[in-house]
Amino acid sequence: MRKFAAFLIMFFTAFLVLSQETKIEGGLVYMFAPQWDKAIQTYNFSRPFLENQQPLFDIGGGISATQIFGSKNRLKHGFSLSGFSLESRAKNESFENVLRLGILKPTYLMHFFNSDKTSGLYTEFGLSLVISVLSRKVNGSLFDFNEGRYRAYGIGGEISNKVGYRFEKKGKLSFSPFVALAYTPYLYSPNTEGLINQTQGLASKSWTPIFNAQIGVSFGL
Amino acid sequence: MKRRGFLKQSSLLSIGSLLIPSVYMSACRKGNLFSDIDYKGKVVIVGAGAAGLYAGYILKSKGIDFQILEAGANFGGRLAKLTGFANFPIDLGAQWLHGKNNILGDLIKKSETKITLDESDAKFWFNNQLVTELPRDVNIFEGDNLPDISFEEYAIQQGLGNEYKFVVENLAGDQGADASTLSVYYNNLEEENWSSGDDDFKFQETYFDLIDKEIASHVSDKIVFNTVVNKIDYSNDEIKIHDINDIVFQADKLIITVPISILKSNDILFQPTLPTEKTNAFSKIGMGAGMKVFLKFSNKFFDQNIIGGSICAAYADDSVGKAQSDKVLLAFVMGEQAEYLTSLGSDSAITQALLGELDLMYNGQATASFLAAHVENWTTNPFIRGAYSYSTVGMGNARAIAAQPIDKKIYFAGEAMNLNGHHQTVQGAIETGYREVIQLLNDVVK
Repeated sequence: MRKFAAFLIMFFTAFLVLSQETKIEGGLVYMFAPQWDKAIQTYNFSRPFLENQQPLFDIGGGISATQIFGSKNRLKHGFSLSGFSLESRAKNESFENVLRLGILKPTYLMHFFNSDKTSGLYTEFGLSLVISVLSRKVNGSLFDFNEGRYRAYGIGGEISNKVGYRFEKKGKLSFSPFVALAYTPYLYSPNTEGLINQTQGLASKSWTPIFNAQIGVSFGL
Repeated sequence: MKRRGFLKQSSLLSIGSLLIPSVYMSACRKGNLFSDIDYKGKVVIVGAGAAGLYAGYILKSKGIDFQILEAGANFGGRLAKLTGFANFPIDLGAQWLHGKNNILGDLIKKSETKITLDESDAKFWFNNQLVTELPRDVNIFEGDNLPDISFEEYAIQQGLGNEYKFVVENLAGDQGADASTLSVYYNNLEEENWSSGDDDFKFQETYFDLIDKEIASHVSDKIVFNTVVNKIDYSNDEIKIHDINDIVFQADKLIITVPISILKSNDILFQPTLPTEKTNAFSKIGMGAGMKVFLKFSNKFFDQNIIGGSICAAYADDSVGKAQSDKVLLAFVMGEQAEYLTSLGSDSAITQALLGELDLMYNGQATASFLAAHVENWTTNPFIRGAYSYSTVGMGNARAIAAQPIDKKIYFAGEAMNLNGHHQTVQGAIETGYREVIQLLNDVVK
């Protein structure tokens, strides 16, 4: 355990020494996962006894932390850890149904920065591991969808592109608005339909692609 | 271009490139399937059981014209209710909610229907005595690498001797089958898809009440009772559905929800004939005999569950989960045992046979405190003819083939057509009801 702790301290120390820039980002996320849409649409279709329909996963919020490593080249490398959260809530008489989706993305990124002092434009290409966690609450209680299972997990890979403009402040401090697009071609989440529509293989596939777009601001340290 | 101008334009371009498609995609994404459907055709549903009622309920919610043809004088199919026999209402058909993690669980919460977890204890009739535990674990029919042989054969292979015969028969009876015909492999395979939860619940009122109040009430004006369909002509664009009185109903689309026993017995003549692959699939899906006998006593001498009788492998205290507590014991008789009791020829003979077994178990207390009986024999009901579907040896993908629509005109629903592991259940029937409406509307919009 001590060896592991020492390794972690050394790793993060090296990480910070080598890093040229640390960024904290926040923004709004738009998400489109067609198979998850199908599961929610089928849920709505099959339950005419619910007056208010379950909204699709659409807009959420996200934050991320990024480390860009030092280099004299215009191309730099970095890592980021991002988290997004989306909610779908439908309140009906005696039946409030809340779906919560969390997505965690560790990302390797390539950061291109125009060294021309007149332009702060930069772009980043990212390759991410995507981990999704979906839970459901009915009338305030966490929903057990299959014998003690409360969450439907998913795993997949993502490619992304971000474009931002960096305004230098004092020293290393910077501020940059950005837009980002990301595509997950395959996210395996076999229990999502079971959690949302309480069926398996009736409403959707066990995997889904995901498109998402983000708009936000980044603060460089 | 000056820096400020570049920044302004590039920012607007970036935001626009993101937001415009997002707003556009949001607008395209509908929260419901077929939200703009405007289908003017007529849909006829054959059978007013859970699947047929729910298919009608969904069609109504979409504003689509439909009619339900029911052979009997009541709706509900294998859901029915008896009042006046005891001081609580009795479920003559489906009784337990098997797991509440399903669409009916949602409906129960929404309608605030009262259900109770059935945690009743069981005793086993084993070697002519009532015991609380069996010498050996009989849960051998789940797991990997199971063979496609019958429960009976597998039990013998695994060393469960003749003394376990009726305990195994009870396990098969839970699946609506004889131990000699239920496949260990396919039953396990289908059970693996089960996702409703393990707990069983009982209704304070009845299962029938839930379906009546929350589903049938929306479509009851669309049901034509006492309409026994005997011929379906789908050779032209318009489907003609004939009943035994030569009344003809016309439809653009047809959803058949009758029990698999009716499809197997060729009671309905299809013109043109159904593909051989389809009729073979029907024949591979099992449906055994089933009956429920309610025995009312003056004293509660019996245990909550008694498993392993040679006349009836499963007795259950029917008052569990009810607000009142008349002493009613349910004899849940399946498969060969139901066939045997049916062969006795009268309700009184069936009752006497069951009382005889209970007297043996409880030293003559059954006959001494017997008050009344009600026999509900689903096997002799001409529009049901059995309990529910089960997985036979060599069944393969029969359910999937049986459930395939024909010529984008005829759709098949009902518990036997459930492919999600929820066959044999009311929620399974309901799932096929809305599944087939989705299929039908997909065919309409294509």
